[in-house]
Amino acid sequence: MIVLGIESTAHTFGVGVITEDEILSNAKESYRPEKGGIHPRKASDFLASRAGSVIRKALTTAGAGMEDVDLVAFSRSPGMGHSLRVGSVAAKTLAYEFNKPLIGVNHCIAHVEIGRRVTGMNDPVVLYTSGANTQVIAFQGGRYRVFGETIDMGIGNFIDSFARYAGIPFPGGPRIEELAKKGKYVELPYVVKGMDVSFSGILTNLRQKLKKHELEDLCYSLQETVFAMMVEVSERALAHCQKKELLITGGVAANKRLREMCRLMCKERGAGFKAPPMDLCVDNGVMIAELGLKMHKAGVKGEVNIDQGERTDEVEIKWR
Amino acid sequence: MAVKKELIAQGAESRLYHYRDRVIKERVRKSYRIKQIDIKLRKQRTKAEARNLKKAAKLIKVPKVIDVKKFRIIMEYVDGEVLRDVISTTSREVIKQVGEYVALLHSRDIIHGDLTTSNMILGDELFFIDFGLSEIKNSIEAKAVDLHVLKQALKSKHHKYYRNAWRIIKKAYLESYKEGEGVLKRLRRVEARGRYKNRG
Repeated sequence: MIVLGIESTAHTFGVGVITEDEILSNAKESYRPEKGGIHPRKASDFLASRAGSVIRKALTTAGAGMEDVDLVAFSRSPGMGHSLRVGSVAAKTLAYEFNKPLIGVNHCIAHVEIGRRVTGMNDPVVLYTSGANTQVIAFQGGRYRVFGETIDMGIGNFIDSFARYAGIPFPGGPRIEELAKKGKYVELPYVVKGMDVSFSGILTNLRQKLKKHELEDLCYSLQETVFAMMVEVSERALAHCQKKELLITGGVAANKRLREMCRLMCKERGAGFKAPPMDLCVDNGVMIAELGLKMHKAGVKGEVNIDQGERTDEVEIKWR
Repeated sequence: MAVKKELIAQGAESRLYHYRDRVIKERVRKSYRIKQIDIKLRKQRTKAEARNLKKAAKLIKVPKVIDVKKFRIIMEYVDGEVLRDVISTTSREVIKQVGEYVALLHSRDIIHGDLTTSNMILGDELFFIDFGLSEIKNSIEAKAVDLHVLKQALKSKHHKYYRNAWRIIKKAYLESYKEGEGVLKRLRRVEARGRYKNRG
């Protein structure tokens, strides 16, 4: 069965084509603001302008035409309304034009499912770290439960915001990681509340420190602090659920220090640790196709209306 | 003859040892975080937990704190069964007491943070243990979430007794805490949000 998946929840328009056994293609284009953060309308204009070419590229690379596709999947939730609409319209247009079944899927769960597929981990705790999302997810009682999460901004947005204040061009993550290598520790607030983390207070604190400290030191302390917070919550989830594996995904999973910390924590607990290849950690169409495939095979019809705010634990999981 | 200390539990951040009539809770070093952060957190949390245990001791039965070291709390050993394992034979009075205990803690703004039946020990009397996630917070939301954790724990682990137990607990909570009504009202909102989570 050939599935075409369309990702369009934020700043990436991604299209993936897969079968049960193979990932045939993974095409994407991402909107990069010249300065400042992501403007929702500009982002969606960008996505709409690239939709056609990305779909074409994904099909060409896969060596397939629309007539070969058996199912069209798209990210229906959660995300920015403008962006979601672009993906939804593209998917519906294809489905109606070529008379294919259509299925809408949850973006966060798609990250988890593609991670399980490519790492071979069956029942991991998932640390999902991206621009807008920071969640620790585990499967329990028939649902993906969010054990811990950010109560304000996502880790990626936090890092990008700090980068902007510090005059580091977008994307700030890689540069901050580089600078951190030469830094020393400056005390920052450490904010774990129960199982949740919070970044906004740390951001304010860092801003106030910008003039008084070396940028290297702030980058180092930022990484050591917020990554430790996320790893701590991940460990709690592992202990609480008595699970034996941790999977990291999302764009921030590219950070080597974060991976190292996850690996150390897991080693101490005797747990396994894996991450998918980076092009499947960031937003992509392959993961949408993968979740669409799993839902379809489980006989889930799936909603086709978009939902900006759907939560991970609202989705009934019938394929596990 | 020397009595060996015996490891009785291992959580995400600490180890629990049984030694003679004492329990030693030790917060262990985490190699993933840098020394400065590691030491700060272990110190702060040990101090806060001991403080909250002492506060709670004035209201309900909790293990008595004997000594507090840098990363270690030494407390009395509480003999009994974990409520989780004996709930099927537990009397109505004990279940009622669970509600009263939570009410008493909340009336002094103590949020336990991990109210599960694994953290309740029934010996000669009922004890609440493990204040590792506790905090002092004058917040209806925090109290509602505290109750929610308890309700979820009952529901998932003790499905058969859940309805009855929750009714008794709710009633006792309301009788023992004059602001309980507001907390229960907020609890309904917490549940309606559907963003509930297990806490560990």
